[in-house]
This record gives sequence, structure tokens and C-alpha cells, in this order.
Amino acid sequence: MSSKDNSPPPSPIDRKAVLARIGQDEKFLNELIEMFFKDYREKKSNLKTAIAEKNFNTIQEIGHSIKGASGSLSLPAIQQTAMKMEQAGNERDIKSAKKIFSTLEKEVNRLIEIWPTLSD
Amino acid sequence: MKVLIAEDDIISKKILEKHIKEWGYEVFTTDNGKKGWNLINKHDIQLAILDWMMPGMNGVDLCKKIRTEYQKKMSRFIYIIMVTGRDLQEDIIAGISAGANDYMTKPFNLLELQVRLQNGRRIVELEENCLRLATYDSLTNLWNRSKIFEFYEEELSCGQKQNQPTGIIMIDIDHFKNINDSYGHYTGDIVLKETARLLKQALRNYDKIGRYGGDELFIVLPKCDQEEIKVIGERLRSTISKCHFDIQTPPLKITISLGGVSSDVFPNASKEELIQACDRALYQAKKLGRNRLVSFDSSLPDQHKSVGKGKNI
Repeated sequence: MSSKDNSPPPSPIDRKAVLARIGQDEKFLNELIEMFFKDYREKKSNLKTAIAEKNFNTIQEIGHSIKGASGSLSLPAIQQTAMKMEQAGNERDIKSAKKIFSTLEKEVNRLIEIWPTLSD
Repeated sequence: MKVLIAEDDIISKKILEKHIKEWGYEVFTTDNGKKGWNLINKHDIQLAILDWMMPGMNGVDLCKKIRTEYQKKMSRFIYIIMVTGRDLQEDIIAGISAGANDYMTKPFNLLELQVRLQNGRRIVELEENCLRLATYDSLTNLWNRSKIFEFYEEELSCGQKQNQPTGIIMIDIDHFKNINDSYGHYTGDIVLKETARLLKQALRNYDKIGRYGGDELFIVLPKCDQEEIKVIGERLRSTISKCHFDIQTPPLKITISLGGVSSDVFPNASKEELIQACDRALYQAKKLGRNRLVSFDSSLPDQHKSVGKGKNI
């Protein structure tokens, strides 16, 4: 097994960076993350429909919006994936959009699972 | 100070809203460019933080709309900070070319945002002060001569396009020179200020009143025909004549003379011709004994044709 395989995956959130930007307010960070999860649930369903209907404008817009929100919360993996989704919408690439959608789901679920331990 | 945050990223919007409120600003938020435009028009926004990409209308287009339509119409300045996730030179150039004053990239640094807002507030205050000095008459707090004439030209042209009459009234405070000579200029100033205040109160909220010069005032009345001029003019005259100016003992009795004309009795008149007609009506009001309104009709004598022959009134 390579050393890469043994290293733990990087944290889905750069807490230090985001806390520095919001005045070290942990309570507010919790509120923002909850807001992100709620917003993602709505966007996920719209994104699913947009991919099924090959609505590239909506794919691009939702990708852009998730990229912005995840960037503001210092969620680098989600931000990267959302950026790729935005790009797939721009390039009208449905195959990539489908693939990126499952990565996005995986990354957000990873954050949902790990967040309660991080926010203690 | 009223701040608009137009940002479709809910997290950025929430972070901005929380901190900007904590710093003492009054905050309005939206996630849509078109709604942002409505909020600007509804709430006298002074400082706007506009996201680059938004549904409805993007930040650059909203910025252009503020600079062209809003500021021209409202004579009001808005300090604009454009924000985007992209830190590209062409974006900065496009944003500032569209009329943005400042530019920030996401994610924000709070201290940087705070000082940029302070800078914006300072510029807004300076601009508002300049605008006030350039458009208001400092004594009466009415529009100044150049601004009231700007309104007049706009209203007349707009009325002609819409086939609607535009009325104007010129007002002189009767024997104002005597008030100054008998009671001093300080009292004269108070009379002028109080008269201006009372007249402004007696007008419809879409009429405009300005100081023409000295003790002469000029009123622009949109969608007002000659018959309405008579009604409004009489209301203004009686408002002043009924009032006691408690600045002297016994209180001063002040009256005004008014000349009025509407474009409906003077079709196709130029702006200058309409003013001359109004001036003739005012002259006649004074000549007939003051404290009255004369509305123009073509049989009125033209005082300028007999310059030097009549006594100076």
C-alpha cells in the first residue's frame, strides 16, 4: 500500500480560515453550516432535475451558487467539485455533470457525517 | 447609513448581513439583481454591495442602471462595492467601468470589509454634501435656481411628449424690500424662510418649488392646467395671507403676488416663452395691487415693451 493510501483524507472544512473570517464566532459557524446543509438539500433536488432534463443553464447556476457558499465556508473539496459542476454546465457536458454530481453528494455527506464531531 | 447587499450566495449574504448590522448600518438584503433594483428605489440606499453573478440582473448591469437611471432621476449618489469570487483583472476593469467605486474578492476578510465600508460612508457623506450644496438653496432649503429650472425643463418636455399640461407659478413676496429696510435683513431672511416652508407644505407632493432669486420663488406643477393653476395659486396666496409671522410685535402680516400659466393655454410654447408669460402675469398681479394671483392670458400687457415708462414695482 502506498503512503498516499495510508494518509487520512484532508478535513472537509478549514475551520481556522473560516473562523478567522467570521470573528471566531463558533455559534455563528454552526448556524452557517446548518444553513448550508438546508440550502444544499434544496439545490440537490433542483440539480438532479436539471441533469435529467439536460438544463445546462441551471446546472451552471447551481454549480456557481454552491461554489460560492462552500468557498465562503472554506469547504475546499466541495468548492472544487461545485466549480467542476459549473464548468460542466458551461461546456454542456452531461456525462461529466452526472459524474460530478455523485462526487458532490459524497463530499457533502462526508461533511454531514464529520461535522458533529468537529463542532463539539 | 442604508446598505444594500445583493448576493445570491446565502452564506456570504448572511456573513455580510450579520457584521454590517453589528457595525451600525441599516441593512437590506436580496439574492436577485431585479429585487435589488426595487429595494434601491424603495429605501434610499446609500451604499450597495453587489455580487457579480446573480439571477434576475447581474451586478454589472445593476451597477450601470444605478449610475444612469437612478442617479439622474433621484439626484442621489450610491457608493457601489462589487464583489466576486473571481479575481481577474478584466473583471475589475469591467466592474469599475460600469460605475463601481470599489471591488472585493470573496471570501471576505472582515477587517478589510469594515475599512472599505468606512471609506464608502465617508465618500457618500461628501457626495451628499456636495449634491446638497449644488442643488439646494441654503437659506430657504428649497431647490436652487439651476435645479428648479432643470426640473422645469424635464417636466415641460415630459408633459409635451405625454400630451399633458405643465403649470408654472412665479411668486414675489410683497414689499419685501420694505421688510428688509424697516426690520433688518435678519428678519427678512426669517420671512423668506417661513414663506418658503409654508408654500412647500401647501403644494402637492409631486410639485417642485425653488428659489428663483432674491424674494422670488418658482413652482413647477406637473399635469396642471390653467384652471388648476388658479385653484393652487389661490390656496398658496391665502395660506400666506392668513398667517401671522410672530417675529415682531405686533406680528408681521405678509402677502404674496403670484403669476401663473399652464402650457395648455400656450400650446407649443418654448420654455422661455412660458416663463415670459408667467412673468407678465406676475407683473400684472403686482400692478393690480398685490396679494393676488393673475393667471396668464394673451391680453395682459407686456411690461418689457414699456421699459422706462412705468414706475418701478
